[in-house]
Amino acid sequence: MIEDATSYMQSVLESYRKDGLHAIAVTDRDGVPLLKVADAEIPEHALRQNFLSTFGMATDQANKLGIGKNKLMVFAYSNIQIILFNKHPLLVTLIASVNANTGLLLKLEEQLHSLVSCISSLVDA
Amino acid sequence: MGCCCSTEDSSSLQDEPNAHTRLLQDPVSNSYQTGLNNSANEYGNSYGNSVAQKTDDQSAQYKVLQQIANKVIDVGALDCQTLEEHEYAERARVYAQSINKIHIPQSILRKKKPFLLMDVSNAERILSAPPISQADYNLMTAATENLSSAYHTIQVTHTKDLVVSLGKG
Repeated sequence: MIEDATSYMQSVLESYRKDGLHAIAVTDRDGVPLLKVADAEIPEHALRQNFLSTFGMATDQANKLGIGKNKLMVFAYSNIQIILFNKHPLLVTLIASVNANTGLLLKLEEQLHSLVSCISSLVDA
Repeated sequence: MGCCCSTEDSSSLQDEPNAHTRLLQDPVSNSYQTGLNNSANEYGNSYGNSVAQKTDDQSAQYKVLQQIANKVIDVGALDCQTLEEHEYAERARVYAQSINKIHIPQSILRKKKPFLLMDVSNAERILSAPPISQADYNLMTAATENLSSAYHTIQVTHTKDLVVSLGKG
């Protein structure tokens, strides 16, 4: 059920909120969300489709550099940081404050991996 | 196939590559296929039985182009990959319905064991802060030792009888 999955993601978000995490989105390559949770501090445009799809395109292009498959990306801006896990055909995007511990957020991949694998069959590769 | 009428010549001149021409067509759009289909319609009669073979060639050619496009970093082509609003809403709805249908095991949705320092936010900053000075450490050690010894030396000395009979007025 989507409620169970969303509530699981919400619980993950809640446990990392004090560390600066603001949103988790599981999307397809075009930025269409399958699951997303966010708090009130998230910038207004940060969960829009065209915003999220930009990072998906970035990882798709990074796959072509001839150094293997791109696994994750970290985008650090002056206001927020964005961590992107490439779970083909899905993308997991974390949006956090700029002061958040990036290493700690990278560990979130393990927590989300099982759920993302479970729903990845819904999207065409 | 060697057919060179005036219209084809003029169109081929227009299509001549210049500095701004993309080497690869956008694999998402079907303009390339449309162009091929138009030419097939135009010359369909003259090609006769070779139409089926031509379709195979086209699909093979399209496949090759797509493979190349998948390997080439074409930053210019990234701009046109945006979804229409209704397509976005429709796809999001389909995803939501699909997730409702699949079974997600409870073992996946079970909350993970919390960290040892889960109540401490930014633990790495606290742990990486400079330690206290040796003098402060000595002061705390001496104070706790004094408190401990003081605690152990506490004795109760009774000055009156511990048992008092209440019945006697």
